[in-house]
Amino acid sequence: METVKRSLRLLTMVVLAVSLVSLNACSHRASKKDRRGDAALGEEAMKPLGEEGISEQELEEARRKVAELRQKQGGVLATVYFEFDDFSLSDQAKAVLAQNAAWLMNNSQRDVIIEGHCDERGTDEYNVALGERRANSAKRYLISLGVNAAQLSTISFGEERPAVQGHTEAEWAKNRRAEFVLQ
Amino acid sequence: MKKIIATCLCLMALGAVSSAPAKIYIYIDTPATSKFPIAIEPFRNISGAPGLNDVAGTLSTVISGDLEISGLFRLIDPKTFIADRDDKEMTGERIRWDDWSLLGAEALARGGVYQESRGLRVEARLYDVVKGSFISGKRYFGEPGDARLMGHKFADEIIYQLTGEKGIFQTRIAFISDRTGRKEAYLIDFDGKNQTQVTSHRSIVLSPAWSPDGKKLLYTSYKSGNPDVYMRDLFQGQEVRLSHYRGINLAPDWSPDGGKIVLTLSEDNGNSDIYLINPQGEKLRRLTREWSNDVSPCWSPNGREIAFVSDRAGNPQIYVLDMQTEKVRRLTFAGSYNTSPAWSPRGDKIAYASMAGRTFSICTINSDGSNPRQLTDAGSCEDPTWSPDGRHIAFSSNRYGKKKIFIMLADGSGVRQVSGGEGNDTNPSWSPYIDYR
Repeated sequence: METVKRSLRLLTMVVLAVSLVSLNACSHRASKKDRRGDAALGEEAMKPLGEEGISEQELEEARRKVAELRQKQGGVLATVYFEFDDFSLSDQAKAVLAQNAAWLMNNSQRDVIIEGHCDERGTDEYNVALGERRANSAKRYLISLGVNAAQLSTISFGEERPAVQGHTEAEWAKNRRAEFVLQ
Repeated sequence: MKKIIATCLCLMALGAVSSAPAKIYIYIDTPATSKFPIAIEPFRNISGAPGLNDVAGTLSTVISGDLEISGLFRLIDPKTFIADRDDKEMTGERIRWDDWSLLGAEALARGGVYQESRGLRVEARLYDVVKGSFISGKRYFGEPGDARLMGHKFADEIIYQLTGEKGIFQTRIAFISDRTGRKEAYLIDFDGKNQTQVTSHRSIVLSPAWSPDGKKLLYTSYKSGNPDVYMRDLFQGQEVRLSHYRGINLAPDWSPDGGKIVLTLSEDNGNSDIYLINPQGEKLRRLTREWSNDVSPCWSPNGREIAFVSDRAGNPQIYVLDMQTEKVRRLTFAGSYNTSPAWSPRGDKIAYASMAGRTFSICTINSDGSNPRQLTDAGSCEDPTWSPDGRHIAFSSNRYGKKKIFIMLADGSGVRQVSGGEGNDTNPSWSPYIDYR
């Protein structure tokens, strides 16, 4: 009798544990889906980059570069910088994104959040929108280079999370950025 | 917000008072050549109970301060007053009209505080000195802690009786402060007193906006890891996440009829556009489709148009969207960075912030785009918001160092700081008229 009781108790515990695990898995999935809905929810088609003056020919070249970079192991995810009140990608920003693309394609099991940031000038609200554009500029370029959209999500912090404090162009330039945060 | 319910005053108009003003003494639409002279006789502690001296003092201070801020009055210097004979029941029978006339007063406000078996009673009166007649009287019951609110209520009564318009002295201002190290939403009375902290998200809270009944507050918060719009009931304290579409959910503004909320969403490729949702958070309509940042929407008071900021022409400017035709017209042309539109309650003007060099100034422009005017020139001033009577504008400014909340008359005069303490205070939003306090 005693053993039956004990095994029953054990069984209950196991069942409980299993349901906890699956519950966890569920909530994990759900939150992940929420966070970056795009890939998971099959969003509307991505707007082509051509409209921002990035030609298919230029992209082809960049993809070859990414393939080269992928041969080299290592590398890191680097930050991309922008001009004032601008979310277009400079040549330097594109070069950094090519490296980031190589890393992400070599580490396809890793997810990143792309954070868009602004300098302190301008209104809080406008800067949240601007940061969002910067994050999405980076994201769309990465996808065009071949990165799996499911690895990427975006968030804008506007001017709320500066990388450095200060009120001169030197600090502002460091704060106008898209940062890559590993999940 | 529980406190407001607890301090809700029993307010009773005296039998002799008609609710509507019989005569207009001050026409607020006519630019005044001179301010209306009024004497505020210091409120008296009639019962003589020691605790009531402070109450009487607070009443006089609040009423005088409110009338001063209104910009409509010249307050007669109390030092010139001659002590009136005892008038324990505030009947007004022994007021020496000639003395008050001699001081130049055209109206007289006075009152007394009485100890009651529970709490206290305030008798407040307003007189026409020229005619030597009674204009209005109010009786308030409450606790000593209610003195400020009683003062604001009677100052509102004075405004109403003399101008025929509602006063703003019971209104509040919501704003954002980083004084705890994180941006949270706070409330103050319009004069900066009576501060309460609304959110404790320990995240980033932005852009507070009032419901038309003044009972709810909307704001954007990163509480759940994404900029989403929340709605808080200021009475119950409960908060719901109203809008959490993919991307940013930013800077909501509640329609004047209460039925819709306009805000910025970026679910389309990170492209910020203006959308309409209902107060349950369901999407109703997308209003703009430009490949540009469209932010900071605000309703016209008749609900037919929405002013917003867009960089569709290369840099941020103010645009106006007609809700019926969905046609968009550009409002501002001067300057390369114009943001934060706020439509005046009368509908004739739009206030905004214009950046030149490194600083913003508060400007107004007629809603047809004519007559842009700069109102501030000290420090960087942002985020204008109108008082519900359209006579004042609140804004944030760093003119003394950290950003603080200031109020001024709508012509740019009478600037005064209303928020203090540590940190930066930004994003003010002036409440509508509040009747529940």
